[in-house]
Amino acid sequence: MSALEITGLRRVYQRKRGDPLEALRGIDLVVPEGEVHGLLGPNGAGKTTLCKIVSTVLLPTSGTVRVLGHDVVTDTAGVKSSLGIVFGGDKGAYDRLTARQNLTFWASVYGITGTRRRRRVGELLERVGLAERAEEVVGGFSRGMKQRLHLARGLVSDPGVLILDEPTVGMDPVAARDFRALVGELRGGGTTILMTTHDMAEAAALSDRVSLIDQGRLVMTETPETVGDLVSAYERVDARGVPERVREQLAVLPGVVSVTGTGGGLTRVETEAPEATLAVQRALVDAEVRDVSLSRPTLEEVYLHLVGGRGMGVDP
Amino acid sequence: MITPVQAARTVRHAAVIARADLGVVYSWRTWLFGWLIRLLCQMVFYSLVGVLVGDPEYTVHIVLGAAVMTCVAETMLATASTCWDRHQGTMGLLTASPVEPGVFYFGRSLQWPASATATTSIALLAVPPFFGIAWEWHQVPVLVGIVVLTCLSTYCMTMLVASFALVLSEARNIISAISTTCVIAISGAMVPVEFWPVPVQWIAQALPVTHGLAAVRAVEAGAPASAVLASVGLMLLAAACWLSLALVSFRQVFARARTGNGALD
Repeated sequence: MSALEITGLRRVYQRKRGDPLEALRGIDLVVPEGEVHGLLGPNGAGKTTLCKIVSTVLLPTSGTVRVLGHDVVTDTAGVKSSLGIVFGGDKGAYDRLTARQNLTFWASVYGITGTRRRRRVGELLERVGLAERAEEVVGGFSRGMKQRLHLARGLVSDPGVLILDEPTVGMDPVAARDFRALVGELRGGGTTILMTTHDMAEAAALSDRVSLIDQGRLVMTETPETVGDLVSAYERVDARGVPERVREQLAVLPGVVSVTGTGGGLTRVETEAPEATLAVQRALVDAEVRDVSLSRPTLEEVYLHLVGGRGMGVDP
Repeated sequence: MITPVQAARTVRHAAVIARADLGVVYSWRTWLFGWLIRLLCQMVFYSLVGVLVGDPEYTVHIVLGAAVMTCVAETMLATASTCWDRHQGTMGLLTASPVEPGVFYFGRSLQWPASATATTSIALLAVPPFFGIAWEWHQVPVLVGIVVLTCLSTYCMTMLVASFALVLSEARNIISAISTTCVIAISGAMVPVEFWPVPVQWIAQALPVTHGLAAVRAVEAGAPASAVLASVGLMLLAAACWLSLALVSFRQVFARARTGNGALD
């Protein structure tokens, strides 16, 4: 059984002014049990809407979503008991309660009682490194500590599926690295994780597969490596000391996508076919440019190629 | 369907949040020398109106009315605290959790009826003697018992109001103020219920505090226990109806939020 089965998912927001906004336009996605699945996309792409539907906060307009076999429309209770959610940012905890009180409350909400609850809360506080701060009110926590508490809360019911919605947003690099290490530990435990993120490195480091989503559509679902391979046609050639005359020649070669200066005398030529890459290399050698290197695109570059020039911009 | 044991557990844990919130709003000093003094001054103000009118019967009427109305003013604060989850970022987590929303919210704002029980009891026992109402010692536990039930019953009514405020959270204080004013106006605190047109009197009968106040007046008048118990019974019946409506309303609010734009989170 798949942990997550999404078929033909559409979600339309009715607006007081203007036309309805179609946030999701027929998403199909299957996430097997135990997989860490990264969901990448610009602001307004539909990632959070997808998470809200999966977590029963919103109803789909059409299509079906099943979480461990439970339908989000007809078996809401089943979904809720199978799912943990972690939202990014400062909010999402009762700031006036201690870390232990927060977890105790949520454990109670999920029907965990008595000795089992005390043991579970203690284990989670230990696991996320907050055991020594367990009796402090959360309002005084740093963002990184709060996010670790959020992760513990998301795990309190020992869910089969965990949704992490922009979990490291706003964190400093050290806290984000620690948080990723925690998520990495979960991979071995068999928990299925659906993680939305803007951070390509985060997605590449943690995900078994990534889905690129843009304007409510799933652009592709692949492993981070395969996504890179798929656009291997988009090779790039970096060279130093390229005369302006040669740069102009490179720009008009067939298959050359762009020629840009990246500072420090470095010229970057992006191509969309191996033949074009060869032609660029030949032209550089002919111009006696010696400092030439080839590299594969990063996941971020792949992403930018696929969603086009809008990049991280907000949809209108 | 939530079992009574599960409901009690949810209320107990939500009440931990309520207690923590109260600890931020008041220290024991600010509660005692700020909030309580403010309410007692308000009560004395209304009672002096009775003295000014020069009718001893009306003075008794308004002194008791003003004392019991302190519980309405305070329990109605639950309208605001119900909306606090929307600002804390916990709303989305609650809607995605298996919690029974009405039960959670019943525990979430229990600090107000608890505080109201203390303020109203002090107001009812300490101020009236200055206006010619002398309580007998045996009446004190009866009055405190009525106050406890009146605060909880009024809180049940407030829960329904709070469920509306949850949707219109920007207007929560306006909703609270209008509701408080209306309840105080028609429940027999300032003027007898019979003062109002019959349809308004029927609405007044649906308010738990109307019967709580009637029970207090019955104790003051030395009425038989059956009269007091009858008022208390009507109050509890009204409270049960309000709470039932509130539970349904909260569930509807959560369900409807799923169909909209996710506006509750």
